[in-house]
Amino acid sequence: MTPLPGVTTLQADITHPSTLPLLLRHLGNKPADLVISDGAPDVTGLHDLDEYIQSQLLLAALNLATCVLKPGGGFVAKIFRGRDVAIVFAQLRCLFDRVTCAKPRSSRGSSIEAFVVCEGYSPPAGFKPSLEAPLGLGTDVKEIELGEMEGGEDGDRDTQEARYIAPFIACGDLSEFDSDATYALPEVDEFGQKWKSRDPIQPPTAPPYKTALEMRRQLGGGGLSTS
Amino acid sequence: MLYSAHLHIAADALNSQDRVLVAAGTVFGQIILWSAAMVPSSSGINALKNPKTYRRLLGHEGSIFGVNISPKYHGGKCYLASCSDDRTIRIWDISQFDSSLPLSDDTEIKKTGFGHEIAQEGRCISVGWGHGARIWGVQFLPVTKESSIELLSISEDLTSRFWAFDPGQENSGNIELKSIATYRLHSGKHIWSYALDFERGLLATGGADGKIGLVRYRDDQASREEAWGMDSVLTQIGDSREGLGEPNHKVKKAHDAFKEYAALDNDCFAATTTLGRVLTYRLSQKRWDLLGQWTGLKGWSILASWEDSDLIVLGGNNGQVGVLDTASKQEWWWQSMAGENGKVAGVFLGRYYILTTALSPAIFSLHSFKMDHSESPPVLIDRETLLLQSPARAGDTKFLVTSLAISQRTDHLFLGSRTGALAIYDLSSTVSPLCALSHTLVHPTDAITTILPLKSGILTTSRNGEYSRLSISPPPNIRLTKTHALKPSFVIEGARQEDSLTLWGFHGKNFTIIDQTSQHEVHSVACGGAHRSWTHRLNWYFVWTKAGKAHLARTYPRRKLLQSGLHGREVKSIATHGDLIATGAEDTLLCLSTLSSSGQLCPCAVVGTHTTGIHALQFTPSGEYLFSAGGAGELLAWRVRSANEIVLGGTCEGWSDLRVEGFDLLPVEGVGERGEGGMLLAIGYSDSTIRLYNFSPSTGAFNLVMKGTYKTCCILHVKFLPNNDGILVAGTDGYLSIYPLSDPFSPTSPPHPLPLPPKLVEKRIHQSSVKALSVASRANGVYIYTGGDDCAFGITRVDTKNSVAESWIVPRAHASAVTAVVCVGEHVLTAGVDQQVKLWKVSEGEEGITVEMREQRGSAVADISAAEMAGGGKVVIVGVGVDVWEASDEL
Repeated sequence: MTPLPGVTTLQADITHPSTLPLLLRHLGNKPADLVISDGAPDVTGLHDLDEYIQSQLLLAALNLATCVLKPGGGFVAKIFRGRDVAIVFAQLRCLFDRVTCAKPRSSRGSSIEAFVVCEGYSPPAGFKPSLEAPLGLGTDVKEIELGEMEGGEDGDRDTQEARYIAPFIACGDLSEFDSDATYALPEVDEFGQKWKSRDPIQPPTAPPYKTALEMRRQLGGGGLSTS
Repeated sequence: MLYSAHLHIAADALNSQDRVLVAAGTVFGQIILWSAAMVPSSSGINALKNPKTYRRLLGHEGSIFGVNISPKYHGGKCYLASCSDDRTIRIWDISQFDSSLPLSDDTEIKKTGFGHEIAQEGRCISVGWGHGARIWGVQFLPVTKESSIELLSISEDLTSRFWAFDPGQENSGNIELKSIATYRLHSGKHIWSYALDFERGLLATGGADGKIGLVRYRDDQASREEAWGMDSVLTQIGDSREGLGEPNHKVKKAHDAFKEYAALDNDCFAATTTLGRVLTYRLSQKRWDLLGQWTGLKGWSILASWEDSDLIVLGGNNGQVGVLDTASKQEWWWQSMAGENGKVAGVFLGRYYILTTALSPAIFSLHSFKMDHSESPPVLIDRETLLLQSPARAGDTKFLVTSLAISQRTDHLFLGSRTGALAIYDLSSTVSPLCALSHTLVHPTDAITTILPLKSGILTTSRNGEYSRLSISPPPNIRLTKTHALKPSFVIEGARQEDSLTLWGFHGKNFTIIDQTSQHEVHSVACGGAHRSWTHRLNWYFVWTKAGKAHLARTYPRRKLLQSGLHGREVKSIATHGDLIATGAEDTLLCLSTLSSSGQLCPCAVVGTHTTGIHALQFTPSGEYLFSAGGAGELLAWRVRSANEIVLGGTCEGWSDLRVEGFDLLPVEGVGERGEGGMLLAIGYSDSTIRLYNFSPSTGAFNLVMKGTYKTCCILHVKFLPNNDGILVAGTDGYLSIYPLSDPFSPTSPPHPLPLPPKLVEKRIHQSSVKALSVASRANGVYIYTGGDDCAFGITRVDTKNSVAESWIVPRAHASAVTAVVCVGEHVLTAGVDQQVKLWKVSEGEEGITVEMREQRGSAVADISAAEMAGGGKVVIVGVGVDVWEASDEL
């Protein structure tokens, strides 16, 4: 992305352990007030998978946040409001005083995305943030003796899973454009050029299949036609 | 982050322990190959010890969606295949992985994400290109030939592909991964799953469209194409004489070439050549035979056959038409038209009829005969010729015949023309020349390629890509009514209607056979395109000319659907009329289905006329008309006679930038010019405009009667309130607004559209978009139930007489947007993107409204977008898939 003035920009994988030391170095080893995450995967179309990967990205961002946030700090992250979003809300409530779901006007109403706003970072007593044993992986993977599970009510665990429906807040400037509406374009722009409306879905600028498209062009589609 | 992995348990030669070999594909295009020893423990679950990383394989430019470790092939060879977002399949040689030293743990990772730099790179030995979208899976097949290792891949592009490479090429350093077969049985987007049965050579695939396709891949790939040059054919028949009848032609011998083909039966087809030869080819014997050579067929010949009769008909350059018995080699020739010595322009067959046309036809000749099978060999008897007057009237374009059918039942002759007209003649008439009973433009304005008489009416196909079913009213006033018309977007050349409808024709460079009923490709042959001579015997073979050679491909049915499906992308809208269900989706298709009593949706007609996703659907109360709307401001009217009969009845003006998310209709009296009943439509657009149109079913015309602007936000719902109480509008602003509707609404179209009257009621219910809305007329008023993007369920009671609305809200009714609201008797059902379906009891007491959740269930449908009541008290929920629910009895 384009660097913003006054902002230090790093390019790193938030799921990778080597990113934290990099981050802490730039923070001067002082805790942060706010961590925001707008990470999203390339969606596949398989909703279960997309929502799972998004929640894993959120968890990775949260994990990083727990390592740098000061108590009382805030965390704002993109979230997919899908099937199990209430579980993610419930998990976030373990670490923050208030968890709200917010959707700004700039986010299309037809899109599954929203933003979870977590305020008042207060981890439970004894919680130690760590990148070596990240959240979501379980802090201690032990070998389970089969005997323990026998007669247990394992099947019920699913239904007893904590769920929390976070309060919803529609946000953003009311005078902003409605991202679902169609607006008439002025005849000409400020430079006197004729306006042309574009398709709302624009192709990516550098897709991973760029070489594949190039190959296809060279071969003229011969033998490759899938139409 | 990992997207894919494959585990392979390998015996470790050095230790007695087994090792598990793991190939893992990361989101950043890297493949990690590692292994760990499996240590048995008392619990029965193996522990993993001593992990070693051998390789970080780099090269892919996108996330790795699938990895597969091959079995040990000849010579101890072992490969890894990977597939990716970059649309490639890569083959890596990992035969030697365990003899190499593991990567040291302290390999410093300098960067994360794409563009990592790590010294040790594995060997990518081949890259396969061909898929047109993301590749979700790849798998090696057990080896069948030493020189060829085969793989399968599945993709977002709806195809499954078989690939092969020759490991022997490895030493040359250039291994080509070739695509050897492609199957396409799905529609929409994505093949998500597959299963292989190596023993029987079966591949099953599962798509986002819910279909399960089955391919007999081994049998299919075993039948290869055959091709012959003219020289090899002439050598085989022992006939190398050239230039018959031109002994003085000494310069250069004219070379013979294939001209036309006609299928005779499952095993034999006939061909003519430019030098007047007539040949047959027997597939079982792989043998060409010469039937003869005629000067009259030199340079110009027309060939047709009556399938399964051994008979072919030939039209020559001298006006002669001949019937040839390919079994007995008897021939019968006569002049196609008295006094006409020009070419026979075309022959079109019914059993046993021959229609011949001259090059400038005002009169056609219909020749009929019988075959006397009491003689051996059978002889041609009772030949008669009937003259037909061309249906083209003076000043019309010529009626160039392209197809013919004869209905034995009604004694009607049907002729199709190059410009899409259909003429009907009554063969029981004795008038000569015979005039057409009717002449109708059916497929403007491309050739009618097939006419099939059905049990009632006929089916026609056209080169414009459309096929249609027509009903024919009985004489004397013959009228054709199109009861069904669809455009499966390819050049249709032929059709057969049995239990299912099969269509064939050309699609790009391929000859394609499609099962139109279950919507899948039966066969596809890369023949080079439409402009060539060809013949086709359904389920047996396809013969065509390419680069001067005759080619033959078997078209045995090797594919079928084990389970039919619906839409291959998100379903966005639903309308119901009893058990008839219409669904519209992002795949731009409109699908008609019937709902069985057991709650199964049985797909029938699939309509692909829309150019964008279909976001709103509505039946008229009678069920005779269906309206569909979506992007590009499209709103279409459909005449629906059954789940299998749908034909376009009208198109409303559209605007490319606009979307229609909501509309409603109201049957009105006296709309049309002849004062017949019609429909008043209220349409909400994404630019916040509301337009009211009168629709006349007889003309298909939409007349604008009222126009206005709501606000600036996108309108999502428009509903006529009961008892003409007004028009309800809801949009992305979370408000409910009601505009008055003068009662009775003036049905006559004013010269200028009227402005929208001021709102009667305006009330904010939700924080943002009203995602779902349902209106019910109850004892104490009109209730509007709403679902919001704000997770809330809203209840609003309206008193339009006094312009009062009172609202209650259930916040956090769902964990995400509430996208479907349906009244189920006295209860209200809501469903949301959280995949929960909830049933609410809404009761009114002295204290106001009380709302109680009675039942809550999970749905398998992701991204639920709408729900509707259908026949038998069932609720149909749509989204990524379809769910059918039955409200339990005690409620």
